[in-house]
Amino acid sequence: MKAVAIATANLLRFVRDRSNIFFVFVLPIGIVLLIGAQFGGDFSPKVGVVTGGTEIGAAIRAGLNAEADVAVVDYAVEAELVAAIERGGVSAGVLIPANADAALAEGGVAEVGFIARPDGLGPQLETVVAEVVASSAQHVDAARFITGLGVDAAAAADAATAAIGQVPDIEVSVVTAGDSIFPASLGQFDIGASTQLVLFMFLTGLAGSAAVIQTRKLGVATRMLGTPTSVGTIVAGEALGRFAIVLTQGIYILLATVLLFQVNWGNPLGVAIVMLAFAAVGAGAALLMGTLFANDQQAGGVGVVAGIGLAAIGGSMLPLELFPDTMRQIANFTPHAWANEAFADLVRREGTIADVLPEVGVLIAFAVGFLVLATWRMRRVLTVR
Amino acid sequence: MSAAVTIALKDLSQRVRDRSVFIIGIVAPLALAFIFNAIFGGGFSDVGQNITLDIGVVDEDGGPIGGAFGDILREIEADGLIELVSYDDEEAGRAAAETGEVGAVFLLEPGLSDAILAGANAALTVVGNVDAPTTTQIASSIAEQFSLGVRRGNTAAVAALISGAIGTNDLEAVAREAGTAPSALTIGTVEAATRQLDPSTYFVAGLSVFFMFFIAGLSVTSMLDERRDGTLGRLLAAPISPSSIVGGKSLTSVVIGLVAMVILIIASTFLMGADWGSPAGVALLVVAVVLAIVAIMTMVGGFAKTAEQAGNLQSIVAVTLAMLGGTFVPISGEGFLADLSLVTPNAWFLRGLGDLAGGSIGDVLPAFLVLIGIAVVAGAIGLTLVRKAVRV
Repeated sequence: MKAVAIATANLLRFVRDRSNIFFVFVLPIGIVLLIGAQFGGDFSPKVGVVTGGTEIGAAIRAGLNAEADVAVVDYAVEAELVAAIERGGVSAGVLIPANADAALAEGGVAEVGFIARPDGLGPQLETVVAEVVASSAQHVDAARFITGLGVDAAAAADAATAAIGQVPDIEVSVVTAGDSIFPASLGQFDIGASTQLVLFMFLTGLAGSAAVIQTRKLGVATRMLGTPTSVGTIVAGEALGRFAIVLTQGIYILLATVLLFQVNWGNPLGVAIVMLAFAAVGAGAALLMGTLFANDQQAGGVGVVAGIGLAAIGGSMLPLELFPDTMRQIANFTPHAWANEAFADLVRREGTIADVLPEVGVLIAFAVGFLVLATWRMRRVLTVR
Repeated sequence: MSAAVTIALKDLSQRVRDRSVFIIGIVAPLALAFIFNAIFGGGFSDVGQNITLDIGVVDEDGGPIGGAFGDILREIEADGLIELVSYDDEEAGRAAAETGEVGAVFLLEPGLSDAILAGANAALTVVGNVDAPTTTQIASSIAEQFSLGVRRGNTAAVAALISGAIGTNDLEAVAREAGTAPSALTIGTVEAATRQLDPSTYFVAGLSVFFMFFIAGLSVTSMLDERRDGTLGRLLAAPISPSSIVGGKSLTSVVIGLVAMVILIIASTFLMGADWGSPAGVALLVVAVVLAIVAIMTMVGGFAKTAEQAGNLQSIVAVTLAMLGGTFVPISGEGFLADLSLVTPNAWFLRGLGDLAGGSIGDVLPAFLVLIGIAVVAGAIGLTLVRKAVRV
């Protein structure tokens, strides 16, 4: 009962701190929005095009646009296109000279510029552009060839149009194989929502370690010990308070992302037990941090680094499937990796409670480990003078 | 002036004794940049990296057309764009694409050459791994272009036949001639400069600036602390102008900020292989960004009444600017977010370094001037606000 009173006092203190409104309620949603906007949509490489107002340019642009995995971005002039390529806004660029139509009409040659940086995917995209250009050229080339045989231009153009499609063809068909890491049904914000939920629950927990230090520094904990209250009760109360705060953070992100971004979290019971287990981890970590540092500014600095760093290692910034092998193994030492893996089961693989039980087990082990260490440390810092 | 220096020296020694400035200013950005680089360095950003796509081929045709296709693939491989893997049969090829061992596989069916030479259609299949759409796209373009090349001559010859310019007997000879005729559309390749930072430099630069905000914020919060403790009143009672007090406090932040940046630049260069670029250009940008950040934090702190309030406001502004400026989630590309990011000194600092990487010292001028502009405007507002706060 006393533990509950301590927890309630903690929760009240948290809610009354107005700067928390930003860090707990505004920031996570902002980051989910940003990740969704940056990475949630199309991953297709972008190719910038300057058509020069030409017909052949429009045909090449249309050809590129029809390719399955290329996104076309229009630019008015060469300088803008080059700047975008240099800064990484687009992967490569196609520049059609403004006199291209005239040159072709006069029987000349038009040179299409392909601009790319030597690094990244740009050089590979030349194959795509070359194909589209060759395809745009076939009509002109065929017509020009037979004009050379003495046929007048209009008849040659008609004959070329008729001939395309009448010749034996190597028909290229594309099929895909394998199971996708990210199913096509995944919403734009689905991955960002669960990974940021994990990041922020833990971060909010660690930020709470400052409150634990204040409780110690102000002598509140020592005074509580003066009353018939055991260290165990104090630790339980503080832990329960952190747990409530971390869980509040999690439930808020869950509800906000469902309401604002229609995120599909998957099996609700599965989500509930993963969140409860991870809230316990966050509470344990906060308590441990609160007993390790003497000064809340230091704990704050270390807390931010640990909160963001562990989240990055644990797959909250880049999905674990895309990690290099060694980093993937290291990731398993963070509770974040297990929570992210559990959410991946639920959000991406239509998992059920049974699928997330192993991860939940590991999370509970983390939480117990943190709490045991924190209790031991708390006993030392409060009783050894 | 000497009063300002005295105040700055006293604050500096106080900061150095409190170890949190080392944690926030140096350890935190380095540690996080190290972690980010270990995770994102490979797959997240391809700046400065030459990519080779793994593509497989199964040639069950064995004829001249299959052979010609293989020659083209080996040419592309020689350019370093793809890494070619041969598989014996369709089953092995499909399995490689399915497991992602290669991003895509070309399947050349048996009898492809015979069919085409006999005037019939044949099939070339590209099996792409579902998670390698770009490799699949590249592979399909290679196949399409090859297919176009094969039928190019035939198209012209058939067109000639339709228009009555040639007879059926000439078809094959004309097709051969037309197939080798130069095309009216050619491609000229131009290599563009890379005005972007490699991942390790990007992360260190972004994170240094982010944590710099917290160091810079200390100038105002320490003033508000002095007011709470009553030492500010005593300073004002002495013949020291309020400007000297504000100047001394700001000087402390600028000095700590510059020192921290220099340490970070040297440490990241040696520990993480970061490549900051020409020292003079980097120096201009670092001075400008430190001044801009101190000015912004002074302005933000100027709205607060207590040190705690100032600290909270400053953290919110620092995190918001870092978020918009691409520190946590790199903002690439074009569009609204990229434009919006340019309201932050974070983005201008990174852009200046990127321009420096792809150009010369003159290219940092736009970013330098914008940062100095931010410093002047925010600094003027900040000083007005803080001087008022000092007097009250």
